[in-house]
Amino acid sequence: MGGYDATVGADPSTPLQFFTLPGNTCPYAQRTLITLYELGIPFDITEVSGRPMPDWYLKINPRGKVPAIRIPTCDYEVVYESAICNEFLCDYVTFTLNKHQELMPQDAVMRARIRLLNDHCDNIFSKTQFTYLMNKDTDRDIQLANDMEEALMVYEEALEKSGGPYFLGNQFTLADLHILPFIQRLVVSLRHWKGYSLPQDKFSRLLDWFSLCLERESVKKSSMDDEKIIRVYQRFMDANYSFGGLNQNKT
Amino acid sequence: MKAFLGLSLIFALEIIQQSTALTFYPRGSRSRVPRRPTGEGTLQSRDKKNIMDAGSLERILALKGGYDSTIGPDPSNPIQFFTLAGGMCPYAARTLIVFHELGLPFETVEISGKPDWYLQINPRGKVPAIRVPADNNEVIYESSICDEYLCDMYNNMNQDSTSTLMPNDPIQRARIRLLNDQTDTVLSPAFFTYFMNNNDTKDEEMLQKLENALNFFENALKTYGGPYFNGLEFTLADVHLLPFFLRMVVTLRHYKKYTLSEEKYPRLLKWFELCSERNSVKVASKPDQVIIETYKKFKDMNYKFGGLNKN
Repeated sequence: MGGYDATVGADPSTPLQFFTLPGNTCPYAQRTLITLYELGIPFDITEVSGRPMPDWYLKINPRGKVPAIRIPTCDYEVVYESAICNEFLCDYVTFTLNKHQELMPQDAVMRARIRLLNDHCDNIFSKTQFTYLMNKDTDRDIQLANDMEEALMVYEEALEKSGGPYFLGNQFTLADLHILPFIQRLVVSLRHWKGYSLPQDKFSRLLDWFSLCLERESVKKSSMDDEKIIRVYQRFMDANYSFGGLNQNKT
Repeated sequence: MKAFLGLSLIFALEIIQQSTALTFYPRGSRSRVPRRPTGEGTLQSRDKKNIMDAGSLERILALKGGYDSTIGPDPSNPIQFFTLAGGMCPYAARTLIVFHELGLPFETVEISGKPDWYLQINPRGKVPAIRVPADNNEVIYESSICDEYLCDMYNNMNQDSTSTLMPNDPIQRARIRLLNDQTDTVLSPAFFTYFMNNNDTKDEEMLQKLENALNFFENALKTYGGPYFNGLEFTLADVHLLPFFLRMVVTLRHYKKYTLSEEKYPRLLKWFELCSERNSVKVASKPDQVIIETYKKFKDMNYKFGGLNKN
């Protein structure tokens, strides 16, 4: 209320600050929230909103987006972009707190696989989800659903290759939490607006993976319920939202 | 990360011109330094020592008939590095710099077009990609991911003398990654869009965007003390920007009559000069004239640069 005065700063013993949208509706910020809960790092939530974002927030994150984290014990350094925040938090536990964590393993090949899956999520998969959801030309629906399923097969295959139940095998990692918030929204919004559900025969492992992830405390604490997802997405539908360019329909 | 595969046919000419630099080794007759089999898992330090004694680090495989990915290289072979024929791809240049900085043995395989055998290796069909025989032929692509993998792998192998290319400090790592994100999502589109713009009335606005993007880097050099982005040590943050910075400086001077001013970018210009003296950077660079000619072709075909050209 009244904004947050960034010039005052926080006591060095203050926990890390996590910036997110009100009601934590942002899937990118949810990734970092899950990470914070999984790693057990103490943090305070600061909600920020506005179009454009208030000046005090633009001083913190010049891109004006969430998530961002600010670390009082590291000279109030600010980190933004969800993937970078999450790798930072894992590095922080490993190198600064000298504790073992398994969200981002130390093995070089595992790390590369996690990063490749996350790159696939951001650069290949997520636009297929939003383009299908926001498509108004029913003749194109089948093609767009196919495109989305093709992009998702990478995950089904990862589960097959690793043996599951998580993408890299036994351990829940950054690869699982990176796509999870998007799958949550996909399942609810596509069922509601397109009457679409992920086919069990094609995605049996992925659907099992999804159920398993939903049981994790970190996921329960950070998720919106189905009704809320529909309310939030109704606003997007009404505004023909571009999802930052991920909706590739031309209107 | 996008590669300019569409131009590979044009670059085939450059292979012929560079033929004096190529040595063709028909499969099976390639001379190999005898080494103990490394078995499964990652390269052990003792084996790394044997390979490092082998002399020349780079061999180029014959392109004729393509490369059969189903056979696969011997697990004791060095890492395979896939790049564009002619070596013009700035994304692949990043990974080439990293190989040289870390002194890791590798073999170069040049790609033209998107042959099926390469799509089996990298389904996105782009460069750079690396394949690691000692890690069960694992394939890694996207330049940032290749580069971080090589650093992770090197540091795991050399725990007493880790490389400073990617430091262990979490804050420094985050800074480096943020700078690299800035290079890819803010600076590159601003550069390509300005470069490819043919509408005179829009030039000033686009140049402003580019200069704003460059300010971020000038400020980083100021804030963290320089002379490199992370301070005293050369890191992935420098590697990531360098091939783009080189192409930007050369093409903007030649085609837009624009040079970065000493007044606005004193540290950035010094940074570039300093980096250009490094052997790894020299190896991965291209002469000005080659860049100018390549970019003329891009201009003529209204190249999209994988979406980075926003015109």
